[in-house]
Amino acid sequence: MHREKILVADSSEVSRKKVCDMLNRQGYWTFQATDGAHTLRVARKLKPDLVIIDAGIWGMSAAELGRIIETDNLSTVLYLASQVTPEFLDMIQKRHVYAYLTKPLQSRQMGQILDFAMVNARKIASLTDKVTRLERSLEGRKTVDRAKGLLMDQKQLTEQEAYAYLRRKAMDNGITLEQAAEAIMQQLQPSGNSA
Amino acid sequence: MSQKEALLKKVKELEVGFIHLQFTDIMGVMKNVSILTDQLDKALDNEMMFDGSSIDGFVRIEESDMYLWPDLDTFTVFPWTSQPKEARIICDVYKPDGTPFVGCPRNALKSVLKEAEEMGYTMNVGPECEFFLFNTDEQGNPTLDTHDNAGYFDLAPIDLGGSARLDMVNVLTEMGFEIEASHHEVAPGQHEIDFKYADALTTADNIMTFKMAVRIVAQRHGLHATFMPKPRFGINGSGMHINLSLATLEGKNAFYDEVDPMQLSATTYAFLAGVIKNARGFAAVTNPTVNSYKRLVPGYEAPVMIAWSASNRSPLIRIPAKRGNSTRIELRNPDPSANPYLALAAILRAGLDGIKNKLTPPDPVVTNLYEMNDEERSLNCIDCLPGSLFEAVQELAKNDVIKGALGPHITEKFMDAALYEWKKYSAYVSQWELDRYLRKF
Repeated sequence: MHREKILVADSSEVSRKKVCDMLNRQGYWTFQATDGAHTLRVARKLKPDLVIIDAGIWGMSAAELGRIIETDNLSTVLYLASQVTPEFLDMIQKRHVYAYLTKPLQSRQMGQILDFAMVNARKIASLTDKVTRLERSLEGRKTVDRAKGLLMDQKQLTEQEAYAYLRRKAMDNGITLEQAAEAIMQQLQPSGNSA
Repeated sequence: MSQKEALLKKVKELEVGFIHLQFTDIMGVMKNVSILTDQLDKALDNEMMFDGSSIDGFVRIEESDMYLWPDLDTFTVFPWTSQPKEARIICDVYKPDGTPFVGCPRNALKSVLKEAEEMGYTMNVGPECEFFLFNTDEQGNPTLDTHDNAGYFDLAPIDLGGSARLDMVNVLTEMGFEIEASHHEVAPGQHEIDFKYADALTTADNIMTFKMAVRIVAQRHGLHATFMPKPRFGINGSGMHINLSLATLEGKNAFYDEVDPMQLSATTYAFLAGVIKNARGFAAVTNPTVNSYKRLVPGYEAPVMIAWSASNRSPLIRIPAKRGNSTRIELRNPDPSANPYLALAAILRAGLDGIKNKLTPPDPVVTNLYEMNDEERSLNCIDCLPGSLFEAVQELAKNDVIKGALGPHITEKFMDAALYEWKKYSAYVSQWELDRYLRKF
């Protein structure tokens, strides 16, 4: 069975060990980092399922650390805070999952929040993936349409003939329809005007 | 639509929130005046003021109002930023009366470029920049130790460095760089990234941008990037080889001549002679730190002797094999701690000195320089680069060509700063001295 990997980033050794103990007892596989830069090094190597960041971590602002981890798709971030201020809540709004842990930690609360965070993180990751694929496909379609338009104008073809031309070019060169469209556009419109 | 209007439109479309107005101080450190997008209009009208006396080496308090004049061609978005996006524009520093400030290194380079243009030349430069990536300890201090703290697995910089370097190449490409090569260098944790040549001013801008991007990406990988010339005795140091050529105003390579036995033009030989004659004079500018001279020692592929060669890899100037439009010389002593604007200004003026005075270079060297003894070296008229920053500054003080490249203001501030460094360094009692003398005497 797959054990989830959690990276605990806390500059206080006492607090870090306590959190890891609780997580270990709940069946998670834990790793530790002592400061901001260390957290980034471990996260990049490990790609953990979750990174718990203490809001007072040394070496880097906890906000910046969380931002880098999520922007570069290293993991999902959950903050551990002793004080919850409006600025703190504002900051976590920008993260994947709007949830946090408070000190002192309680086992049950922690377990529920972790489950919530990881399940939702996975959902968001899959949705983000789908959106990226859709965006790419849409861009591709736009390129194909633009190439068809150029072919119809410059070679006096009908829409079907233009499409057939593109498809033949793609097949002959072993490339995708979108790539053929890009190439045609470069050829017919050498000013390099695409979006 | 004017260039200003086009830029304002672009900034709005891209939803940029902050603009960093960048300039470089005399020591080669990048400075920023950061503004919100709504102040950009004012900035583009050259109305952004800052206090020059807050920048080391710039001015005294009495003359402190300085203005930033943005170079719109340098507008670049930082790819690692989002919500909001941030961008930068490189600026020249001007006085309130609208004249260029003589203490601005970018202006100094522009002056020498103008001199070259009046002689019918532009200069193209392609740099090869080396750097180290180190881990940091729990306090965030860079450590030369390759083992990570509390390591489960060895997160040596070697392992993480490769993926960081890949990220650097991607980021630089997004910022408009054409990366020519990127690889691991000789020493552990050492890397090199080469980007395509461009005119001297653009390249100097690119070098500053490169160093900034490398540092930031390294940070995002939990590593510390350093351009320090010699971080550790016994392993290779980091150099910044400068590939350069002159072009005519029509854009033709002025170094190539197919008739010559080495296929180099008379201009090349004269330029070479100028660089060789003035090398001891510009060393303080191309190698501006105490540590720079720890790199310029035999045995680690860094040059020591002032000579040139087409075959030898060890001299100060190497002539790479390519000809035609790619004909160029490679100056191997500069290191990445140098201020790129001042370094290129000094090197160019040295070369122009050779052309103006129709100088002839010594014969190229074919034997291995490090194996020559003093007699052979004097027969070949081979001199050495300065052995220390102090020596280099003394040579600079004697050299009017290089002092002319920097201008009197920068020369004075630069030399003051260098001598201050030297004094501090000389007064310091190092671990080496303690290890060697404490027990012995």
